[in-house]
Amino acid sequence: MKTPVPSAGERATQARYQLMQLAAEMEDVVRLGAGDPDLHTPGEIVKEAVRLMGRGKGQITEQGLDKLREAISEQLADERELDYAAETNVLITNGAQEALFLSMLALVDPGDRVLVQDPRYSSYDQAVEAAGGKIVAIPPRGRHDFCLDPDELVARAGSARVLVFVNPNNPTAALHPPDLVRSIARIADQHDLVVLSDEVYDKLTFDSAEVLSIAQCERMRERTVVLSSFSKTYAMTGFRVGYLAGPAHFIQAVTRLKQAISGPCPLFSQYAALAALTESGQGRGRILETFAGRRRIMLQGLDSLGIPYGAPGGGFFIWADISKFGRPAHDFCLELLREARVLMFPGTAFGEHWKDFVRISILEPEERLEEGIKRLGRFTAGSSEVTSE
Amino acid sequence: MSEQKMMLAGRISKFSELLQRENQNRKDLSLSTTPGDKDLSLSTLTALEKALLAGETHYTVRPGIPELRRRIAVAIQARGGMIPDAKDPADNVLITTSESEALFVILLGLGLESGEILTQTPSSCRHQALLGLRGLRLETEWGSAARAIYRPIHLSETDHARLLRCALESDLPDILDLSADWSSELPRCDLRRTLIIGNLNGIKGLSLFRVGYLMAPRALIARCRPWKQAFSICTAAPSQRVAVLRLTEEGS
Repeated sequence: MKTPVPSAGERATQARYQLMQLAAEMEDVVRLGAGDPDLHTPGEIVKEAVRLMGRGKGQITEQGLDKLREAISEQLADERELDYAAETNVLITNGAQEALFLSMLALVDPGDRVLVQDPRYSSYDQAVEAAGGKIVAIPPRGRHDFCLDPDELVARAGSARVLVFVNPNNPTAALHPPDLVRSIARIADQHDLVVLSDEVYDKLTFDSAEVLSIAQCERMRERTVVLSSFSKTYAMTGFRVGYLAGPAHFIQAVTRLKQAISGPCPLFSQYAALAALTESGQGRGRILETFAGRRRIMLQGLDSLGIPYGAPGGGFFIWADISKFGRPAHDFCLELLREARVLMFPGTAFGEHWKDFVRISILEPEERLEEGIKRLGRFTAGSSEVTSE
Repeated sequence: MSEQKMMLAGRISKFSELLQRENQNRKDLSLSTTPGDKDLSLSTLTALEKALLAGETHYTVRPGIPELRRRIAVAIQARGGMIPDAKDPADNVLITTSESEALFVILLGLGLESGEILTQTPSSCRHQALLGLRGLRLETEWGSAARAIYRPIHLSETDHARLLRCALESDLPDILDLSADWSSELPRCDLRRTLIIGNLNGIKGLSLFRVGYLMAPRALIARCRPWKQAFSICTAAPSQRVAVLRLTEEGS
């Protein structure tokens, strides 16, 4: 039997998993790689989900629990002034990843061009590939400014069908200011693009930064699909609950696809998500406070080592420039892991051009982050710095 | 026509439009409420809570909790099905959210698209829409465009034998769909090409936790695993933990 050769997106994803596998076989590794919060799901969410499971009705639908969709609809209205009706505009998915994949299948025909910010989470490549589409990468604004560049977007928008807009961004953590979001919205409208707005990290922003969903911009609600999840905000990665909010016609199409491919989401996970929205305001606050403290430590550490990075506005990653050490990112990360027992992901796992960058996560306790910085310092002290002329 | 319909109508992919139209004409396929028994014993629910409070709230390893995969592999082998070719039987199994998701990752992992799937009774296949997504259609007679064999478990012994023979003669993947059947004796499998898909809905208390599986030779699992990761990363950790608890209780 013939089996296909892995695609570029699949290879990029596997590059991350191979490093994680190597790290799993080692002891005392400071893990600054993966995007799974080390914090457990707040206990009040678990207890409420168990309580609801013992009392709730024993049935599920592909679209998701009514009460959960209602709670999401209310949150979008309260926090983003977005008007999405629970019964027609919201679909519950197995995490944001399934939401992304189903959206691509619902929007993209073979040969369609999909605009994606570069660098990018490689699962976008696999989802677009599965739909038969073609990724068109859009470079960021500057060497250390990773916001989407409107001029570069205009240059590539012709004949494209979909724009994937990730704000705050993974892997760069760039948070797009409201004026820039409005500019991007105008371009999307002018070029008749459907926007898939990945807002997984929009509740994990720092320094009182203002977040504007592109769906809030003029004329955008009807051409935007909002994608989000409970995984990062509530430390609920294992529950696999996400959602899509968008125009009814689109939600109906995706629901049919979900019916064919995966079916309804687990009832227990949906109860946990409902508990997160209704019971865990304090839990969310605690998680954000924890990440804010860790972010400060990591940024101070990188500053002390003279390692530049893009301004991290949201999420729990830092996109750092390691070019001065003169080694391609993959080699740098492999040696850092083997010699210093610190796990980071190479930029090339997020796009082939990013050999000068690494993605650092802050998903370890503060003392482990400090230890990681010390080890990184010792490791890079042994590297000869490359000076530019 | 409403503004929202004007904006996104025509922006939906051709397959999605087709699926919508087909469903509008087929009442039996309309979106439905899935009832299920959620009658877990108090001890199972308590054990689940304890596991979650102890920190099992994270992504599991991507193919699924090894203990669950191992139990499924052993159970299938005990039913006369596939003999694991991996040192650890867990490596022959991938946990999914349903048998349809297992079929989806097979189609992507093996690059099955644009052709025919040979089966006995196309109309009884529950996955026609999913196959259609990849441009695959069900046929009863072997043709040069055949990409794989599809065998639902309820076929007669003769039909199973005929379809498996076709898979062997044409060097095609052989997909055996057990759906929710967790106890019947299994038909013959081929150790190099059979991919078994199913779910645990038939086990009391599990249907609403949504656990499916794929069991296959290790080399084929390796091709399908990246697509499961890409599609939904891993199956829900609480669902997998409950499945382990229930299978332990059942002693299977």
